[in-house]
Formats: sequence, C-alpha cells, structure tokens
Amino acid sequence: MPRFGELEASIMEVVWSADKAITVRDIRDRLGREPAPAYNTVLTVTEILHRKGWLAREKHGRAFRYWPAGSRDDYTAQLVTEALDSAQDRAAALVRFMEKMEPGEMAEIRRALETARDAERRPR
Amino acid sequence: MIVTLFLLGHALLLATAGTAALRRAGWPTRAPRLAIAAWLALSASIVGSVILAGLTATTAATRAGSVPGRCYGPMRWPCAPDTFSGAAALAATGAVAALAVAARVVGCLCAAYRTAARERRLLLDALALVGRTDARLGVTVVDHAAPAAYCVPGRHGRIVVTSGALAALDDARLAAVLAHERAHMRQLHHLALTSARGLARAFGPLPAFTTAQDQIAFLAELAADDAAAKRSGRLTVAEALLALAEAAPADAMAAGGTATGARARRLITGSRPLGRTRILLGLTAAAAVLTAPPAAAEPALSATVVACCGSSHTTATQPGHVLRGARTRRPDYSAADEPATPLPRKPDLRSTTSRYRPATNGLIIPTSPKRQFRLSK
Repeated sequence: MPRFGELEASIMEVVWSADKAITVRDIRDRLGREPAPAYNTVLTVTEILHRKGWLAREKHGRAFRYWPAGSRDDYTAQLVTEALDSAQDRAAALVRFMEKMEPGEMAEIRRALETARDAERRPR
Repeated sequence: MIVTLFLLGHALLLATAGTAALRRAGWPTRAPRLAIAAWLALSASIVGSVILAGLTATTAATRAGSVPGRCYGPMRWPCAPDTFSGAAALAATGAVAALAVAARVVGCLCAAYRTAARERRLLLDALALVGRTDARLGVTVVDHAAPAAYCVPGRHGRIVVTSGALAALDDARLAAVLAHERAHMRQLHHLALTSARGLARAFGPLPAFTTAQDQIAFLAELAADDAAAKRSGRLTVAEALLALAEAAPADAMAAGGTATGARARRLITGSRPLGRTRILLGLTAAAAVLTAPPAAAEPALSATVVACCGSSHTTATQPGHVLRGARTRRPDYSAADEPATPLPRKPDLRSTTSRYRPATNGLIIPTSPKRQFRLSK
C-alpha cells in the first residue's frame, strides 16, 4: 500500500479544522483547491479514511457526516509515546534511539563522560 | 536412529550450553554484527536440527519396519510399513513432530513480518498527517515536547525526530543520532529483529529464543552506535544518548542498569573491535553450526530415499553404490538366498509369438512355419 496520499492529508486537515461533523460536500468546498476535485473522488477518499479508522461518521438525512476519530494532538502524542514507552507492545514497527534511564544512572554516566572528555583534552 | 539422537543432542546443547556461553561471552560487544549473525545461526540451527531429527526418525523407522522385497516399484518413498508396529508409531511421531515444528516456525515468522508491516503502515500514515518533513536533515519532525528519535525501517522508511529532541541536541549530537538511525536502516536490523521476534513467539517458553531476541535487539544498538561513533566520535554519541535521556521524563520503572546505560558506558570507555582473523574464525564457526544438522542428516535422508525399497543389506554409506545396487538387483531375492551366479534367463513359455514351441521333456524343437503346416496335415 502506498503512503498516505496528499488528498487524504488535505481531507484530514479540513476535518480537524472544522468544529462540527461535516458532509463530503462541505469537505470538497473547504479543500480550497483550484480546480476542486470531483465529488466522487472526495467521497471515495473520505470512505477510505473512515475504513482506516481515521474518521467517524453518522447518517444525517441522505448524506453521511464525518468527524475525526482522534484529535491531531492525540495522534502526535501516540507517535511520541510509542517511541518513548519501553513497555509498549507495538515495537514491531520502529527501532528507537534510547530508552529512559533512572536518575542515579544518568548522573553516573554524566560523571564518567566528563572525566573522559577531560582526559581527552589534557594530553594535547 | 543414531543421526536422530545426534540431532536432538545438538539442538539441546545449543539451546542450553550454547545459549549460555554466547550470552556470557565477552567478544559480542566488540563485534556486534558478528554476534547478531551468531545468534541467528544458533536459533536457525536449533530449529533445523529438531525438524531434521523428526525426518530422520521417520525414515529410519520406515526402513526398519518395511520388509525388503515387498516393494516392487523402484524408489518408492515413503515405503509403507507392513504392519502397525513400534516402528510405524515412531515414524508417524517423527513426521508429525517435524511437520508441526516447521509449520509453527513458518507461521510465526509470517505473522511477525505481517504485524511489523501493518504497524509500520499505520505509523507512516500518522506521520504523513501530523509530521512535517525537514528536507535539510532528511527526517520527519513531530512537534512534541518529549525528546524522542527513532526510525521506521523498510522501503518507505524514515527517521523521526521530535521537536523536543531537536531542542535537546546541538548539531554534532544530532548528526550522531541520525548516523545511528541510518546505520539501523542500512544494516537492515529490522529483518534480524523481526525474525528473532517471530521465533521467540513460536517457542515462547524456551529461553533460548527469547534470549536471542533480547540480545539481537541490544547488539543492533551497539552496531548502530559503532557506525555513529565512526562518523561523529564515540564521546559525541554518548553525549547525545545522555542529552536525550536527561531531557526525557525519568523512568521510575528503570532499574539500576538499563541497556541505554550499558551502551553509554561502552561508548565512554571505548571498545577494541575484534580483529579480522577472529571475525573470520567466528563466521566460520557460525557457518559450521548452521550446516552441521543438514550435513549430519543428509546421508541418512538421501540413502533412505534411494534404498528404502532395495534390499536390506545395502546400507547406505555411498548413495551412488546404493543406487546401482537397487537398480541391478532383482527385488525377489533377499540377500541370504541370492545365488552366487545369476540364473540363465528362461524363455517365456507362454508367448504365442515365439518361434520356439515347448516340448514336454523340456527339449526345444525349432519349427519353421512350413514344417508346422506339414505336421498338422
């Protein structure tokens, strides 16, 4: 599957910036593209976003109205906590640079590092 | 049967003493990439031995259970044992065990790779939405105060850094972090990690595989640290580790010696890389561990494929010899009652097209069609 498409990202921006649930027609109008993409294109991509779990929806009259399943901050926080949390189960996707340390150990390493830097500078 | 026992012993030895020795050895921190190869070879060798042990048990038991001379087709395999006996039970057990282990390994490896791919896709989707690409650094930046840096490996892989991490690192240290992450991607560490994870899941209670998983994860970090140290200097890499750790909220769960702490200490004291001769020696040893089970099982398996329907005394040291023996020897004779000189070939008496007509006393009178006609008159 290709990476998240440009139109998908734009639609999520629109839905996140809207203050209430909106229809596909509203989304298309607010995309602010010139020329505006076809209604059916926007409908299809919005359906995909719903299927992927990014958008929730509810039927209003004849049309669905969509709203984001999680706020932008939720996703950001999720991206970061996944990388920081050592007890997480979703380690399959990433290799992280470091894990958290306990203060005593950090202080000990800080001392050792300073000693090593000093030793490196002195002979010259 | 001896081969089966040897293979089982080999697996048992590697899973206990081999694992313990490799975990306690000092050289892996001096040659982390070699050590990753060693752990993978160890795991693969254990699994391979068990599968091959099952197969050799099956073939040995079918050979013992089948009476030579009963099979008429050449090289039929597996030969069905004549009666349901201990040999048949052993053959069935071996076959089932081999199949079960193989299926479990393949299934769990596939599951591990599928899970990793799915998680990676979700992560890349989320990154495309909330992250912004920094073209100068070639990374994706996520605006968040907590310092974190990681890579999402794979074809669409990328390095992710939070704005908190960017704030905590100066240029030199950031370069060290990026060099570390690029080394992960370049050296394809995720493949080793995912394979180890799959095996650990397949044989959960066995400590050999979980140990391998933990060790490979740690060694991959050491290998990436070495690559970063070559580029930025080992003290800079250590400083980057410490800077990010100090900026992160401290972890009350982390007990005294974490893996990150061990990495920092190793970078500070410096580690002498293993010499080229020893690396070669280690690679040879890993290759030997990996090829020992198939090499041990091969004669038994190929001899069975060829000779299981031949006579029983052609026990199989040389496949070529067995092949010739199995083809030339007639299946009706067992080894004991086979005559020293081959019997002359008797003419086929029932053939109607033969020019030879049988006589009652065994004499054969040649007849021509003309004479036959005259006689019948």
